[in-house]
Amino acid sequence: MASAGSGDEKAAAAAMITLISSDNEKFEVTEATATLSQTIRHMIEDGCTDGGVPLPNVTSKILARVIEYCKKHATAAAGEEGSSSSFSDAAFLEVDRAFLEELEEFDDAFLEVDRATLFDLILAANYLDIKGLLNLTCQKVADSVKGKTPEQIREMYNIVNDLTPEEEAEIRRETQWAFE
Amino acid sequence: MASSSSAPPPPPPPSGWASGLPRDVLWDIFLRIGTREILAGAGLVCSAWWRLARDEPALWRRVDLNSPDDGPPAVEDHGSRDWLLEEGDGYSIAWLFAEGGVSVVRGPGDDTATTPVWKAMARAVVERSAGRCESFWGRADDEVLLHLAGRAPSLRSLHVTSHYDVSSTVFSGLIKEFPLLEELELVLDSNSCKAIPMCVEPSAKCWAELLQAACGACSHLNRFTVRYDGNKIGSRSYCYQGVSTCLQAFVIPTMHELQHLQLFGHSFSGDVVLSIIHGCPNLQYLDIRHVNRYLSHWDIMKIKAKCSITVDQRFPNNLFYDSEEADNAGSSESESDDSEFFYDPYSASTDAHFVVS
Repeated sequence: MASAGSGDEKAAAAAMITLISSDNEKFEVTEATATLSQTIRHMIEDGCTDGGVPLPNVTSKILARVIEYCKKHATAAAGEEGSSSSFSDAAFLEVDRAFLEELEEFDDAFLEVDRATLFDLILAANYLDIKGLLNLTCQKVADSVKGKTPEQIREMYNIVNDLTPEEEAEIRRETQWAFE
Repeated sequence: MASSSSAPPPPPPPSGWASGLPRDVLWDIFLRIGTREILAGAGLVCSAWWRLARDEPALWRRVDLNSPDDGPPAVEDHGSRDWLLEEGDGYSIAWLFAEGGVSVVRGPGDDTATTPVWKAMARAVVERSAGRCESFWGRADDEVLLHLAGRAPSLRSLHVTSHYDVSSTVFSGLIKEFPLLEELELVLDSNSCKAIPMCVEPSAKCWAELLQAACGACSHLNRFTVRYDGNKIGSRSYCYQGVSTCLQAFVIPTMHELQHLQLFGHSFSGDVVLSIIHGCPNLQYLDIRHVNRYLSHWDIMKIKAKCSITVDQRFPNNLFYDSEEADNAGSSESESDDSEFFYDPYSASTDAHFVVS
């Protein structure tokens, strides 16, 4: 029985879900961690997680990282929920700030990955529908391309310029400045 | 099948950055990049990225083409600059330069080489926005605004952030195409003088006319700012006489939503300012620092009296301290023929005699 109410957090925390990566590795995670993914949350709600959740689009290497992220953020979320009854409390705000700072540090460290891993994390975050992780990774890409020329971006991400001559002509017509 | 080669096999994992990113994800990334960057950087990287930039109007809802390269030179006029910094409550400075990207003091004329760029960018963006643009920040001229006018019916925020060589006739026409406009800022070219071609004084009327036109067309307006690039107005010493020519024509409808008003320049005479205050019952912020050098002390007293409900009028204590116009102010006839607002409770103020000669 999926825990619907907020009363049985214990039960929710205790419930374990098995995630299966594309290379058949199994990961046991708490439901609280797994449900940071909307995709998995829906599967749990539909009761189709018995025998594990196969994730054919995610390798074990990436899934391990994703789970690391979810664990950290699920803990933070649980902490917040636990003290939410006294949300106007100054002490709570203090705790909250500490949490956020710690999370931020975690996120920064988490993003110290090569381009290929970043790409896979984005795809996984998108597929699993983990909003926080998707925001984080997209922002990382956005920051990295800011102030760069198209050529620099291509180099950075190993992208081949596949613009057709027609497309280039159209671009040139519209945006003369870029080719000056 | 066993590949017999000893070389370490499949090297880089497929770099799917070009076409491997789902459209939604790439869109999300682009939204975080900014208008200029998409136009001149990321949006030209490869076919997939370019097609998204070209074909997704929602990317161009909030256009910010403002750049230090065509931004106004930071206030470099000695007098005005010191004064601004002295004001130093952070707010006025933040307001003048916030989001303007003016982080570097630039000399006049630094930007001539980039002229075609800003225009090409503005046109491209307006085109790509396909009628969805809600906010436009950037350099513009009449041509760009006319282009925008036909293509942005839902525009709420318009900030012409530099060099607007205004023509009030054109402006009065095109502003009608933005019925939902809430924020309007016009940073005019300091050399602009098209507004009154017949007039010796450059743009003697245009300031008040621009506000009048905007108020007539945009009933939701809640912020209005007009000023010159770099506060160059300090160097003009001949404009005071122009004031009386535009006194009678100024009428605005009641602007219930107008809350924030920053006026600049000599066309806002005392009774124009008073009639603005009268027409804007919910005004919360009125900045006339750059107008009041053209007002008589008498005008200022009346405005002060009328403005008790508004905040932060920012009258400097040394009102006429360094302004040449001040010396002539007392001899001008303009304060004696504007009696309709003459109800000032402080009329017996001891300061009054300093001005009236």
